[in-house]
Amino acid sequence: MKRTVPRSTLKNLVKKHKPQLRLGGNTDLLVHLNFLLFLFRLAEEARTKAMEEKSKIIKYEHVVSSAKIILKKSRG
Amino acid sequence: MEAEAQRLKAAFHYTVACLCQEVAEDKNIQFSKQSIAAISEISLRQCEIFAKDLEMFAKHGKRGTINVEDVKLLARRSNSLLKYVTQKSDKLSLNNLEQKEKRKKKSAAKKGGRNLNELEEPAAIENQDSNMA
Repeated sequence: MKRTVPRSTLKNLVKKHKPQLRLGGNTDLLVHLNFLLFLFRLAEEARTKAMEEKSKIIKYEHVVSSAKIILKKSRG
Repeated sequence: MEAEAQRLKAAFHYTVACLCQEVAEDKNIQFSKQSIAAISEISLRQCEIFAKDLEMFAKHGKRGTINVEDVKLLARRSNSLLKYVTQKSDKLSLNNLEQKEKRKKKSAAKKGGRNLNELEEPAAIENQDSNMA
Protein backbone atom coordinates (compact mmCIF):
# COMPACT_ATOMS: atom_id res chain seq x y z
CA MET A 1 0.00 0.00 0.00
CA LYS A 2 1.12 3.49 -0.76
CA ARG A 3 2.09 5.31 2.42
CA THR A 4 1.71 8.91 1.32
CA VAL A 5 -1.36 10.94 2.20
CA PRO A 6 -3.01 12.93 -0.63
CA ARG A 7 -3.29 16.02 1.53
CA SER A 8 -4.01 18.57 -1.16
CA THR A 9 -6.63 16.30 -2.73
CA LEU A 10 -8.37 15.98 0.62
CA LYS A 11 -8.27 19.73 1.16
CA ASN A 12 -9.64 20.34 -2.32
CA LEU A 13 -12.47 17.88 -1.74
CA VAL A 14 -13.49 19.61 1.47
CA LYS A 15 -13.21 22.97 -0.28
CA LYS A 16 -15.43 21.76 -3.09
CA HIS A 17 -18.21 20.75 -0.71
CA LYS A 18 -17.92 23.66 1.74
CA PRO A 19 -16.12 26.61 0.17
CA GLN A 20 -16.41 28.74 3.33
CA LEU A 21 -15.01 26.06 5.63
CA ARG A 22 -11.39 26.32 6.72
CA LEU A 23 -9.36 23.34 7.90
CA GLY A 24 -7.10 24.01 10.83
CA GLY A 25 -3.73 22.48 11.60
CA ASN A 26 -3.29 18.88 10.57
CA THR A 27 -7.01 18.16 10.43
CA ASP A 28 -6.72 16.73 6.92
CA LEU A 29 -4.60 13.90 8.33
CA LEU A 30 -7.39 13.02 10.75
CA VAL A 31 -9.86 13.18 7.86
CA HIS A 32 -7.65 10.72 6.01
CA LEU A 33 -7.54 8.42 9.02
CA ASN A 34 -11.31 8.51 9.20
CA PHE A 35 -11.51 7.70 5.52
CA LEU A 36 -9.16 4.73 5.89
CA LEU A 37 -11.21 3.36 8.77
CA PHE A 38 -14.34 3.81 6.70
CA LEU A 39 -12.80 1.84 3.82
CA PHE A 40 -11.77 -0.87 6.27
CA ARG A 41 -15.31 -1.20 7.61
CA LEU A 42 -16.74 -1.21 4.10
CA ALA A 43 -14.35 -3.96 3.01
CA GLU A 44 -15.20 -6.06 6.06
CA GLU A 45 -18.92 -5.68 5.51
CA ALA A 46 -18.70 -6.46 1.79
CA ARG A 47 -16.62 -9.56 2.53
CA THR A 48 -19.16 -10.88 5.05
CA LYS A 49 -21.94 -10.17 2.55
CA ALA A 50 -20.10 -12.14 -0.14
CA MET A 51 -19.44 -15.01 2.27
CA GLU A 52 -23.09 -15.12 3.28
CA GLU A 53 -24.03 -15.63 -0.34
CA LYS A 54 -21.27 -18.26 -0.71
CA SER A 55 -19.60 -16.17 -3.38
CA LYS A 56 -15.82 -16.23 -3.50
CA ILE A 57 -15.65 -12.85 -5.18
CA ILE A 58 -16.92 -9.53 -3.85
CA LYS A 59 -19.42 -8.37 -6.44
CA TYR A 60 -21.04 -5.07 -7.28
CA GLU A 61 -24.25 -5.75 -5.35
CA HIS A 62 -22.34 -6.77 -2.20
CA VAL A 63 -20.50 -3.47 -2.23
CA VAL A 64 -23.65 -1.45 -2.89
CA SER A 65 -25.67 -3.05 -0.09
CA SER A 66 -22.81 -2.80 2.41
CA ALA A 67 -22.11 0.80 1.36
CA LYS A 68 -25.67 1.65 2.29
CA ILE A 69 -25.18 0.21 5.78
CA ILE A 70 -21.70 1.58 6.42
CA LEU A 71 -22.53 5.07 5.14
CA LYS A 72 -25.43 5.18 7.55
CA LYS A 73 -23.23 3.99 10.41
CA SER A 74 -20.56 6.58 9.59
CA ARG A 75 -22.87 9.57 9.90
CA GLY A 76 -21.38 11.90 12.47
CA MET B 1 -28.57 3.89 44.33
CA GLU B 2 -29.74 0.45 43.29
CA ALA B 3 -33.31 1.16 44.42
CA GLU B 4 -33.31 4.42 42.49
CA ALA B 5 -32.20 2.68 39.30
CA GLN B 6 -34.91 0.12 39.84
CA ARG B 7 -37.51 2.87 40.25
CA LEU B 8 -36.31 4.60 37.11
CA LYS B 9 -36.54 1.35 35.21
CA ALA B 10 -40.08 0.77 36.46
CA ALA B 11 -41.16 4.29 35.50
CA PHE B 12 -39.63 3.78 32.07
CA HIS B 13 -41.39 0.50 31.66
CA TYR B 14 -44.73 2.04 32.60
CA THR B 15 -44.37 4.90 30.11
CA VAL B 16 -43.29 2.53 27.34
CA ALA B 17 -46.32 0.34 28.06
CA CYS B 18 -48.63 3.36 27.79
CA LEU B 19 -47.07 4.39 24.46
CA CYS B 20 -47.25 0.82 23.15
CA GLN B 21 -50.91 0.68 24.14
CA GLU B 22 -51.54 3.82 22.07
CA VAL B 23 -49.79 2.34 19.04
CA ALA B 24 -51.60 -0.97 19.48
CA GLU B 25 -54.97 0.77 19.45
CA ASP B 26 -53.97 2.84 16.46
CA LYS B 27 -52.70 -0.07 14.35
CA ASN B 28 -55.05 -2.77 15.67
CA ILE B 29 -52.25 -5.05 16.83
CA GLN B 30 -51.09 -6.40 20.17
CA PHE B 31 -47.73 -6.17 21.93
CA SER B 32 -46.59 -9.13 23.98
CA LYS B 33 -45.29 -8.39 27.48
CA GLN B 34 -41.80 -9.49 26.50
CA SER B 35 -41.68 -7.14 23.55
CA ILE B 36 -42.70 -4.19 25.74
CA ALA B 37 -40.02 -5.13 28.26
CA ALA B 38 -37.46 -5.37 25.47
CA ILE B 39 -38.44 -1.95 24.10
CA SER B 40 -38.15 -0.36 27.54
CA GLU B 41 -34.74 -1.96 28.07
CA ILE B 42 -33.54 -0.75 24.66
CA SER B 43 -34.77 2.78 25.23
CA LEU B 44 -33.09 2.90 28.62
CA ARG B 45 -29.77 1.87 27.06
CA GLN B 46 -30.28 4.44 24.29
CA CYS B 47 -30.86 7.10 26.95
CA GLU B 48 -27.43 6.36 28.39
CA ILE B 49 -25.91 7.01 24.98
CA PHE B 50 -27.98 10.18 24.59
CA ALA B 51 -26.84 11.47 27.97
CA LYS B 52 -23.19 10.91 27.13
CA ASP B 53 -23.58 12.54 23.70
CA LEU B 54 -25.39 15.57 25.12
CA GLU B 55 -22.70 15.97 27.76
CA MET B 56 -20.04 15.91 25.04
CA PHE B 57 -21.91 18.46 22.90
CA ALA B 58 -22.27 20.87 25.81
CA LYS B 59 -18.62 20.39 26.70
CA HIS B 60 -17.65 21.07 23.09
CA GLY B 61 -19.61 24.31 23.26
CA LYS B 62 -17.69 25.16 26.49
CA ARG B 63 -20.92 25.04 28.46
CA GLY B 64 -21.97 23.33 31.65
CA THR B 65 -25.64 23.23 30.68
CA ILE B 66 -27.26 21.30 27.87
CA ASN B 67 -29.55 23.45 25.70
CA VAL B 68 -31.90 23.04 22.76
CA GLU B 69 -29.10 23.28 20.20
CA ASP B 70 -27.40 20.24 21.70
CA VAL B 71 -30.60 18.25 21.45
CA LYS B 72 -30.99 19.29 17.82
CA LEU B 73 -27.43 18.16 17.19
CA LEU B 74 -28.29 14.83 18.75
CA ALA B 75 -31.17 14.40 16.29
CA ARG B 76 -29.18 15.39 13.21
CA ARG B 77 -28.63 11.86 11.89
CA SER B 78 -32.21 11.34 10.81
CA ASN B 79 -33.60 14.10 8.62
CA SER B 80 -37.23 13.58 9.58
CA LEU B 81 -36.37 13.42 13.27
CA LEU B 82 -34.36 16.63 12.98
CA LYS B 83 -37.32 18.35 11.32
CA TYR B 84 -39.66 17.17 14.05
CA VAL B 85 -37.36 18.25 16.87
CA THR B 86 -36.82 21.65 15.26
CA GLN B 87 -40.56 22.16 14.95
CA LYS B 88 -41.06 21.27 18.60
CA SER B 89 -38.28 23.56 19.78
CA ASP B 90 -39.70 26.44 17.73
CA LYS B 91 -43.07 25.87 19.35
CA LEU B 92 -41.47 25.84 22.79
CA SER B 93 -39.55 29.06 22.22
CA LEU B 94 -42.71 30.74 20.88
CA ASN B 95 -44.58 29.64 23.99
CA ASN B 96 -41.83 31.00 26.20
CA LEU B 97 -41.94 34.37 24.43
CA GLU B 98 -45.71 34.58 24.89
CA GLN B 99 -45.40 33.80 28.58
CA LYS B 100 -42.76 36.45 29.00
CA GLU B 101 -44.91 39.05 27.31
CA LYS B 102 -47.86 38.15 29.50
CA ARG B 103 -45.69 38.57 32.54
CA LYS B 104 -44.48 41.93 31.29
CA LYS B 105 -48.04 43.11 30.74
CA LYS B 106 -48.99 41.94 34.20
CA SER B 107 -46.14 43.71 35.91
CA ALA B 108 -46.85 46.84 33.85
CA ALA B 109 -50.50 46.72 34.93
CA LYS B 110 -49.45 46.42 38.55
CA LYS B 111 -47.07 49.35 38.29
CA GLY B 112 -49.53 51.54 36.40
CA GLY B 113 -52.04 51.36 39.25
CA ARG B 114 -55.35 49.61 39.34
CA ASN B 115 -57.44 52.76 38.75
CA LEU B 116 -56.13 53.52 35.30
CA ASN B 117 -56.60 50.11 33.70
CA GLU B 118 -59.53 48.53 35.38
CA LEU B 119 -60.62 47.19 32.02
CA GLU B 120 -57.46 45.15 31.70
CA GLU B 121 -57.66 43.66 35.12
CA PRO B 122 -59.94 40.68 34.37
CA ALA B 123 -57.62 39.69 31.57
CA ALA B 124 -54.66 39.85 33.92
CA ILE B 125 -56.44 37.61 36.38
CA GLU B 126 -57.19 35.15 33.62
CA ASN B 127 -53.54 35.14 32.67
CA GLN B 128 -52.63 34.38 36.22
CA ASP B 129 -55.02 31.47 36.24
CA SER B 130 -53.59 30.03 33.04
CA ASN B 131 -50.09 30.42 34.42
CA MET B 132 -51.04 28.56 37.55
CA ALA B 133 -52.57 25.72 35.62
